[in-house]
Amino acid sequence: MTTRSSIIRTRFAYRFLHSLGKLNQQAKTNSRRVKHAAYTSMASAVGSKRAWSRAVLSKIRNRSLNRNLLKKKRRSSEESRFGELRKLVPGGEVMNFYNLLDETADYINCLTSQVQVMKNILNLLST
Amino acid sequence: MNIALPEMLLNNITSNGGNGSSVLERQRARMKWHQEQVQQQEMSYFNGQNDQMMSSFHQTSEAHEFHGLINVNDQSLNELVTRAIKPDPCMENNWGDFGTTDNNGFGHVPVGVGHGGMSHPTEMNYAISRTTSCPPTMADNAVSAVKPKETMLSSNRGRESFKKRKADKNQHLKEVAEEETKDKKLKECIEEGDDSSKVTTEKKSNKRSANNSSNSKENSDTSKEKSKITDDKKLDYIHVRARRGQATDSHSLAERVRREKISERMRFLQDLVPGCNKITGKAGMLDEIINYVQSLQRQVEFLSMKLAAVNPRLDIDVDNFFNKDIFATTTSTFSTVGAGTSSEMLSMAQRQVNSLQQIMSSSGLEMGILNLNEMALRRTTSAPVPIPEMFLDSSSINQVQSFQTWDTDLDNMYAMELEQGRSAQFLPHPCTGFAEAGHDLKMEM
Repeated sequence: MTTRSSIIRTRFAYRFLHSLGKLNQQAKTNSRRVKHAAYTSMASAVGSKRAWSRAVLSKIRNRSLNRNLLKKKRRSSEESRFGELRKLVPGGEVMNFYNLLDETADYINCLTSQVQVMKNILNLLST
Repeated sequence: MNIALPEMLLNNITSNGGNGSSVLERQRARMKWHQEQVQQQEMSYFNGQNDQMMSSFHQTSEAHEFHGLINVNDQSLNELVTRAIKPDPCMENNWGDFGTTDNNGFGHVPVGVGHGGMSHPTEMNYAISRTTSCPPTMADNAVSAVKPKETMLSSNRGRESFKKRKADKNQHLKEVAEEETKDKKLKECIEEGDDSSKVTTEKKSNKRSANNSSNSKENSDTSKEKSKITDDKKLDYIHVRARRGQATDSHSLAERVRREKISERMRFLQDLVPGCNKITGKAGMLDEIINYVQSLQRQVEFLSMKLAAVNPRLDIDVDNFFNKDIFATTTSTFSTVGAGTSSEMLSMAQRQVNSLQQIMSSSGLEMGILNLNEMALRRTTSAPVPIPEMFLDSSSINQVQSFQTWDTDLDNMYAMELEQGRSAQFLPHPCTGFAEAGHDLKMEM
């Protein structure tokens, strides 16, 4: 588990920094873009074996296509606590509850490592 | 009362032997027990009793629990026989004595000490209380074997009295449920309490009628046959057991399985989310999980905001990276920084050689100071590559290398970076990764 998370961490860090460099070249960096870059590099670091990363990647891939569709979905799934969790975990709208919990566990793992790496980068950059 | 006892006690033994013993094992043990009992009825008492006892218990129970009992058996078999032939209210006291003799190592201890061993909380006594709670059934068997006529009669009676059997079965069900809860809790004291309660119930039954014991044994056989049938039915759902009053149709069983899985996941999540251990109840836990995920996402947002503010300075701080890098301890930060600098360098090809040389020199200096030991260890393995060649490598991206090798290379980077005093080996590895990440970037941006 530690090896896997460390591998994901290094992958994420590499991708994220790379995309940060790209953003820097574009000269119109805002926080939304950075956040997008962080999530996308996280998802691509995890790969396609997890449902939530697949959801993120597909969302990015055809962002223009399903913009309206997503809004509709969001409106429909505001019911309960489960719905809340479904909204939080990417791709959770179409999962059953057991898979949702499974994905949530993995997502939490990845988010913690993501936060850690981003903090490290920020520390390095700001000093 | 006595009906469920042999079976139940056997279950206790098996569950004691291996805590994770499955239902299947228990069933098998139960079947075996049943067969043994039937055999026992047929065999003459004095010849086969001791061997039967030993063999049957050897098969089902842990050895350490029973060695003492067997020894005692040899010594005081006579006493057992006499007592068994004339069943009296203190029969289980007799067996309680066996437990205590087990404990003390003596052959004979006065009757009336009773369940003294059971009240002690230690592990050893716990095991002893198991053994002491077992033998009364054996004594019952002995009784039934000695008086075959009575069993015949009582079997007739048992067939006639459905009511009694029904009540007994209810009792049996109750005790199964009890056992299930016990399995879940696995608390010694509770089990001990159960044991003592069982023994007391048995005492009551013994007081009620001495000859009734054989009758109830016959009943236990029939009830066991019934339970065997139901158990065969349940073989498909080994992990689910219907408690008393629970539905046994396939839908509710499946639902139970689903709930079990979900609760297992919840337990796993509980470990992940900090501060979730204290909370009981699914709703509270879900709230906590949601809060945690939200906070993490907000943290990512906040960090990305900060990064967006800091990002323009990214290229200037390349030199500082390595200086910081050396103070960092974890591999993750190491490789982060390594990857970061490499990507940075690739984006600024014109400054590359200069900055690289700067980094090399600075890092080499710092590391020479801080990590002298590792340096000394690993310097022997490092093979320095001339810088121009390395630069060529980085510009002509090596596309042969695959995803996995990139990973392992990054993992190795920690060691690599330590190795490098002045060799420039680390850059080719991130660059091979760049080939793979290049097409990802289309997606990312």
